Amino acid sequence: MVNLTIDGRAIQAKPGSTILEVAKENGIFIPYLCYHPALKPIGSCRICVVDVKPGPPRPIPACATYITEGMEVVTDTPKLAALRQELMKLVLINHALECPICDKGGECELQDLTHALSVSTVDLDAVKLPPNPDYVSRMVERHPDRCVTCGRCVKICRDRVGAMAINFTLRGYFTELASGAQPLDCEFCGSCIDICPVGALINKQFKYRARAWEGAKTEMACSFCGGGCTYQAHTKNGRILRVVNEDSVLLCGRGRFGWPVVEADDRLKTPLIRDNGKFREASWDEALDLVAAKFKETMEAGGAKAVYGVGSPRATNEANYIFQKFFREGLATNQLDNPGRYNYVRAIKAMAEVFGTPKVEGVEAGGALVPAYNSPLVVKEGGQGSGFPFVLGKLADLSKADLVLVVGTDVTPELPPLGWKLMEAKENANFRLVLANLRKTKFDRYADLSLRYKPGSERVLIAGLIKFILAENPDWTPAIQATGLDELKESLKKLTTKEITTKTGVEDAALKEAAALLAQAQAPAIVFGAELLSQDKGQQTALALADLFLLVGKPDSPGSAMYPVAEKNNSRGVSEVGVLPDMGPGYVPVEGSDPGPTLEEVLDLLEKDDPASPKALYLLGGDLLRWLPNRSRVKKLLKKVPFIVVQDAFLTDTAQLAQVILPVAVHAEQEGTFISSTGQLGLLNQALPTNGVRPDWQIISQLGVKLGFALKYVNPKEIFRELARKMPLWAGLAPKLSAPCPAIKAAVTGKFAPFEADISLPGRRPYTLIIGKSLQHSGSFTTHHPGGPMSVTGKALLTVNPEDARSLGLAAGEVVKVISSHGEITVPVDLSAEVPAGVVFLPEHFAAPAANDLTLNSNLMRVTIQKG
Amino acid sequence: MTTNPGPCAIVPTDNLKPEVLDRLEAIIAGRRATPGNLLPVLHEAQEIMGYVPAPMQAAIAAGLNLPGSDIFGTMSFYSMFAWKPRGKYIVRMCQSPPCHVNGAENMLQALQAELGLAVGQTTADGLFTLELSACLGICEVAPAMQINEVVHGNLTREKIGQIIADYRAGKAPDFRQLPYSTKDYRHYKHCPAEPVLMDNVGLIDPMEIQAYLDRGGYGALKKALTTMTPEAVVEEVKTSGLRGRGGAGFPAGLKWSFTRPLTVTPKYIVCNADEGEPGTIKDRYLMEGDPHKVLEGMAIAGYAVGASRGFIYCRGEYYLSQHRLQHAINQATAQGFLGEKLFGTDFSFNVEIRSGGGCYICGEETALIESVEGKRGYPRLKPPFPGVSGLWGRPTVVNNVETLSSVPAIINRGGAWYKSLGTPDTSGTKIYQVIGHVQTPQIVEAPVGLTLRELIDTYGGGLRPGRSFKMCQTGGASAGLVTAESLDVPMDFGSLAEAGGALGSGTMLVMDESTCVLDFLRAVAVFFAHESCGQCTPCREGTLRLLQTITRIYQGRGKMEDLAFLERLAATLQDASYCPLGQSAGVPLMSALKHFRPEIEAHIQEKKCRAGACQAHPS
Repeated sequence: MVNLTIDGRAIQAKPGSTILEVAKENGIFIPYLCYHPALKPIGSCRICVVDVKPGPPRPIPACATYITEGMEVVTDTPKLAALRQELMKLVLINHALECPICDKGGECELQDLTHALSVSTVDLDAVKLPPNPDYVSRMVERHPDRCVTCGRCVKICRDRVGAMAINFTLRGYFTELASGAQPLDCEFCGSCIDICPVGALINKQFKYRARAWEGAKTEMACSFCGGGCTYQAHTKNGRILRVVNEDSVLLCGRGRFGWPVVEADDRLKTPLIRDNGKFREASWDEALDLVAAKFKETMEAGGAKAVYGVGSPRATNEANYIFQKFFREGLATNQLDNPGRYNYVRAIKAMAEVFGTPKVEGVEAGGALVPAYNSPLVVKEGGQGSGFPFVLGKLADLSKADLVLVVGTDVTPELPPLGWKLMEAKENANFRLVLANLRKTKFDRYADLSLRYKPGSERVLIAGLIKFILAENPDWTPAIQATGLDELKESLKKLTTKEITTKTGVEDAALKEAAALLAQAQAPAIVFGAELLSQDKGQQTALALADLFLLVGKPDSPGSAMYPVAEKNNSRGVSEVGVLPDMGPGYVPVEGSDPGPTLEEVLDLLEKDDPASPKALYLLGGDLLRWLPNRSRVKKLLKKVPFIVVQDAFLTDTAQLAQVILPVAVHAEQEGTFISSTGQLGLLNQALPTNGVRPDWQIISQLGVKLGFALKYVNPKEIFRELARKMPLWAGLAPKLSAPCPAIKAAVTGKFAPFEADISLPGRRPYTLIIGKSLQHSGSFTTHHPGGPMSVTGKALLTVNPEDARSLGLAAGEVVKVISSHGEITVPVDLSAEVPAGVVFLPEHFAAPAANDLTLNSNLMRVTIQKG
Repeated sequence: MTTNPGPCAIVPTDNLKPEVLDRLEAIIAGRRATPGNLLPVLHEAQEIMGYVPAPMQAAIAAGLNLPGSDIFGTMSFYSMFAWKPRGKYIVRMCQSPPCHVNGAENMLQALQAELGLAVGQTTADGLFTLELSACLGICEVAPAMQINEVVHGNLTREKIGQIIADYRAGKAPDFRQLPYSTKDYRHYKHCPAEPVLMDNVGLIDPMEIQAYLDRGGYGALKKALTTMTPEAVVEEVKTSGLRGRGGAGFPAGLKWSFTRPLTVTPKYIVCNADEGEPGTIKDRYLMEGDPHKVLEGMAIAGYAVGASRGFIYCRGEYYLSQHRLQHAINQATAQGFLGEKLFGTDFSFNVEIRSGGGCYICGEETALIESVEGKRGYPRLKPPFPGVSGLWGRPTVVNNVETLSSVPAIINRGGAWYKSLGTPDTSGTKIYQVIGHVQTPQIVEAPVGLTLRELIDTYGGGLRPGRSFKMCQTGGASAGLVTAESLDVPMDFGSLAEAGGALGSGTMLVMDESTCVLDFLRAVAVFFAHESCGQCTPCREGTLRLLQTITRIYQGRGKMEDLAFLERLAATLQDASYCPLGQSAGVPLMSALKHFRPEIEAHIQEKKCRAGACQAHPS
């Protein structure tokens, strides 16, 4: 600790703190304008200047001055007060005093500061600058004449988001905040809006809807991707006004602007029952009675196994938990799975093969009454755990890695917080970013090494890395206790360097450099996402990456971990709480009964008209038709199922095939928890009325009760309590903390598993199509409301390399026909050199064109492109 | 890669002609591997069309994988870049204080009349664009202008007419063929003491390395590399007492000793050749006349601190300096004085030139570093100091041209010898510059400690006939004024500071009684308002307010409260500004109020300019 005095008060503070931080912690008021805790010191407004001994003869900024032993700080003298007043006047002369109509009114830091420093007059005149407002840009309204040139927005966009979309232009007095393009063409994350101390950047969704202080604030986890961000929803009269992250400010575009989906016109409001081929509105009782009766009927005819359930990566842990309980305890079957089967579950399976399933010892129920949504289990002295969850990385740790290898993943669209952490990691001079991707992404700008490989050659590339590491380090011993290295080596023996470079198209020098960086790294991490896992051999690729991590990983070093992206808000949770045919809550393999078929197997059974194929489907959300590959096949097969009940907020393509649709609460309409991609428990608090729809857990509970199952719960808190008691992996968990608890000592071991180092991209068509994620959308959830993300990215565009466009004779916006072995779609094109020649990219989110019309079993396929 | 192309996917819109695009692509390809390549690319790209239009900016963004916001954000920070069409010849009239006190405003009027243009306009025939420059660094020939790369000084109405007529007739000189950009150093009056820095200037062919070698060139580098340890080199420079010649006077050896022991690599040497301080012209003579000496000094510095790469950040207006330096780098590299494994040792050293873009703040070392990195020239917070974390976060020693050029002699003849020159406060020799109202403005190298009187009378040729000394702005635009009572102060860092001035860059702007102090202050205020980078509040807002208020008094609309306000403002600037630019912007004003308050008050109370220089005031 460092000893110093502030205004004569003796204070002890953490080394590395600034004077301003220490003053704030100790309740000493130092005014500031440009400082923001989410940013590194800027030091531009100078309002926080203080006198410091020892130090220069002039006052120095408290925000940018680090404390030293014996430092004497004086924060308030008549001279400093006069100086601050003077600085405020300089700021105010050119600030458009539009407070009555400025949306920032009431939460404007300049207003507060003017008040706090009693600046009553501004006896200065000004050369008026042109106001140059920007009303044209989407989401963000810009008022340069209100700008105080503090630099916060530029810093957050550059240092935290990494978009570098806004910058100052010109210089001196004429300095103005602007983007390269007018209007703004950026990630539309809106972080600049909330970090702006004044009203220079305005949230168009919020503008004129309420005064800043009117909203009731409810903290909740974001309901879109698996990032696990937390924000405060500001609500008034039962409607959301805006969402704000008061801590780091950062949110992505869908998080900040995607909430209007709650108010989408096409939300289902009442249960629907199909009658003579048409849906009619029904009461809850009627609908639930009908479902219960149909389920009973089905079971009586075909046994309990005739009912199959698909859980939801969107629904809460509580809903998914009682959903699996509905099957496991109600029906005594394992007839359930979740749609993560086609991406995230592949990562789990592969990692479990290499690192084993979780085993946790030394946790027990704590005696004391635990707060809601806190695990009742505590970690005892010597508690330890093994298995793959212990090599899964936590979000906060990623920036502690000294090397991150990103494979086949456009980080920001897949999981924005991982991108923010990479930006944080970049601040460490020793950090290295190795990007392996067949297309260019935002992080190419920040990569120390970019490996641009040929489509589908990921596993060959990873095999190459493993081989080069072992070739350069013949006596390599993994940091993790491992077996099977010889077998792995043997399995890769036939793969020659020439084959590796030819198949991947990556030069061996670059591969060797990457291998050397991996071998030297003290805390390497591996990031990979759904785009990679959604390939037909996604699980094999995950296996290869798990092997690579077993080889170089150092899980004892913070940040050295695997970061598979769990794409949706609860993709990880739905699996962890046991919505899997072979594993129950906490990934405990089912005992005493046979594992059920996977979702893939169920489709095969239906195809074969196997007697074991389900006669009734209980779908918790999950628009299978939209999300599963080979849409025409899935449609054909679902149509074979006599009774389908869907719980969803929208009349999805799959719901159209159902007999009963039960409308559910979403987002701020319900309470419950999610597990983020990086293991953090997110708590959703209800801030909006449900207006007649019901939360998933309640529907399952009510249906269960009607079927005579022990599923009666009063609220999700009660469910969480029961669930968490069965989850040793969650011992010590509470909202905003991440599982597994660091108090559980990780005893990770592994076994190298040979993988298929091949390329699976059949066919001879000239282009390779990747179906993946757009920055603005999360699944199809965000596509239901015309505002927010849809106003930025309103339709699917096929991204084509400009060279390819030239040879095809295409201009931007022209419509093309994309033909695969399985179908064809028409879509307008967008030209960008971010895809290499020969590769095209299509976002997955939109109803039309339906990307899965083209797919067989992979999001990577060969296609033909025809003009017109 | 999404349906929204996002910020990093700007596809160049195609209204650039194919031949323009081809040249641009070649420039980008040639610079792709250059770290901090934006400014070099912008400079080269601007040569294609004379300006950088929006589609070209977009193409550069795509080619360099930079966001569009960076291209315009960066280029619009620098005065020398244009994004709108300009004429074939850019006429830049200097309005710096030294030119101003020599009648630049009248010359500007003459120029405007001759060209039929207002500032910022282009002639209908597309031949000339008239621009103003805050300082061209050619004060010995004030009032002056630059047409493209060529300097035209000592302007008169007649001369302006002739020059413009020549250009109209197609007679545009090639700057590369000129022996020097302003004047022949050998025609100046020299100090009898032995020169340390200027020994070759004007005597050797700066385009011929052999001439430098014949005079013992690169001997100091060889000596350092083959007979001394890096620590010994640092020690020798410490012994010499060499203080930085850029203006702040920080001991060079001490600076090096902070960087030497750091194990972080790579380290960098940056030669600060931005010479933007109005009145400062010395480094140009060294770079134009003896470029190898600068390179040798840099290489020795590199060896001393363990840096293998050097950058020369040379102000954009110094075309001939850059040309000579680049030629010297090429020759030295070809002959093994720069490059890999010098003199058979393990030491390698490569030098690259980076051109500024018309921006005074980039002479501040951290702003300079940002600029080399290809960004807006915003000063950084200190600490960390560049010696610890500079270019790309690596230890970086930034030294002025004159400082580095002193190093070969120190190595050759020893630190103790160098220390024996000059004064106890400031050892060695100094290139003084005497400009303004003297008969023969020039530079002179002399042992530190020359008095202002000697400088003016002996080297400046005295004041013009019938004029008397009024004041001198010492050390550059950011320093205070001294009056006749300081004429005999020895000019070293300590003594001048004590006298209320500053040695700064060693330039002395001499003004006789025909100068109105208020008019002079206005010129200084114009300079600071133009050159404030805009990062911090007091300087961004304050420098313009300073200019506005002084202008109001100058125009006869002043009030007595204005003076109190100016004092308040100057104090705010000094106490609260981010960097030395803002901290010193009010210094000349404070100094003028101290020495010449009645004269300034007369403008307000009597509406009278005692010097008879203010147009709005009868004398």
